[in-house]
Amino acid sequence: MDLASAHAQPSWSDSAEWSGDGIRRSVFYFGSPGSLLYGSMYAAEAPRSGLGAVICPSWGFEVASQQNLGHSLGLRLAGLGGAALVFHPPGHGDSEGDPEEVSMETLASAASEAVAEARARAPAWTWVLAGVRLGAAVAALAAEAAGADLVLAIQPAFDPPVFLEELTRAARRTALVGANASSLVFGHVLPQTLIDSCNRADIGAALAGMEDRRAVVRFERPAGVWIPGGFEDLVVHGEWSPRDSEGLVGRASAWLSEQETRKR
Amino acid sequence: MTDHPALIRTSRGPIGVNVSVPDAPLLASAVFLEGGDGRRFGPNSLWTLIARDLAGLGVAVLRVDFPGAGDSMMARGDPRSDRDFLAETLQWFRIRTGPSPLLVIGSCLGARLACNIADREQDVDGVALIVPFLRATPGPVRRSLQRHGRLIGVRPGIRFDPHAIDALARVLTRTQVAVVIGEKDVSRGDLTPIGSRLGEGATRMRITVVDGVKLHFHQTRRAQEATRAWTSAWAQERLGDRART
Repeated sequence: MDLASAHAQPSWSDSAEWSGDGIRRSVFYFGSPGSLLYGSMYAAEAPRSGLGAVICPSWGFEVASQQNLGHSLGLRLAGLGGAALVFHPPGHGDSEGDPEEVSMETLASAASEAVAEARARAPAWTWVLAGVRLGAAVAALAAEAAGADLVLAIQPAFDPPVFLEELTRAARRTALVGANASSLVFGHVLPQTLIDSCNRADIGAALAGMEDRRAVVRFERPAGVWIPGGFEDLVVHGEWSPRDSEGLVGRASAWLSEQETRKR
Repeated sequence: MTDHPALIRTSRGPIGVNVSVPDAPLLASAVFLEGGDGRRFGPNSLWTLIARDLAGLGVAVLRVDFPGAGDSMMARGDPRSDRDFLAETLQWFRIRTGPSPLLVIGSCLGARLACNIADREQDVDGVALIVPFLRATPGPVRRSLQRHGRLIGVRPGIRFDPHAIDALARVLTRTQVAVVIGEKDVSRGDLTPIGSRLGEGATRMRITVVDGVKLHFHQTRRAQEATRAWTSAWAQERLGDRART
């Protein structure tokens, strides 16, 4: 060790990685200046599974309320020898970008960028797409461009206009009982670009012709969730709640591990 | 301004943080402590935006995911009772900022942590409390009474976190404490009994009430804009002549 390195001041970036308990963690920004996206990676120190999953979050308030689901799944996959990348969509969380310019196209493009970043950082794994709620629709739209041959949809909202309608209605109900009458949806601007792009999003068409493997992991309640053709439907006993997603995380990670076994 | 995410090695496990660092020389450092949800970016990224605003003024701002949330998923501990994770994280931060005045900002439940941190740390140059919630975390009996007490005609009174109130009283002897709250916030009613507990020190606490709005949860555009503008103005005031505009 030379004198210069012995006396080096600690820097901000020297703690961007952590490892312990057989898991390697890293946090970083990726993408283009001005629209940098925040990424958080979980990876096994000794890879035992060949699959890594980029986990696409939902939109708006659900990015926050469901972020622990993504991190739990990432941690579980890394514990099983795999890897995962959790990222914040444009205009959300710690990512850059204008939330008023978000659309299904920008969300899908961010998902593709995340897959490319994951491949570059962790080439030992084959990277696939997983998505939570509206993130499932985003993952389906991004799959072809991202070159992901597997899509896992977690408690999916595959009908984006219905998703926005339900979320908006829930926000209005909350506003009625509180002092928060607002045009925002749980504190988030609902941009026209997102409404328009949700209206024209065709999830079935996006997946048509792709030779991928697909599954939905969802709670048995609420019933009547629309699922496009070609998805294996894996139902977990109980009712969906973002606060108690352990059942989804367990089933989702098990299915991803099974795919790796089948591939071998 | 550059955001530097990091995973801090603490005795409780890895704590995920993001530090917004000014490109120009550092004028002060700040720690931002969110509410009970433990998410460092806040509603509609409000805490992220505030951190970047302050970094633009020359302040390095630390935001922390609380144990069990987000990037701190692998860390153990309850932020309501275990403050060691924060002390160790702050130590990591202050080694990198070097000696500089420290601004402490707490929102909602984070105000309790902010009072404790401001009491323990050196060089604290100001404390900002956004919709402070300084009530004690109720135990199971009290929680049950709060839920069902009406049925048996028992209404438990408000109990404040004694550690946070004592810390706030000591902090007020050392530095300025500013509070912002919405006219429609429920916890606005807590300020009078808190003032009584603080005695003469309460006169040194500067309170701003935003008319006609509820700030808690920051669900409206007006609430978000009011808190963002207030925090920025407060930081500029603390920096005084050193502030970059």
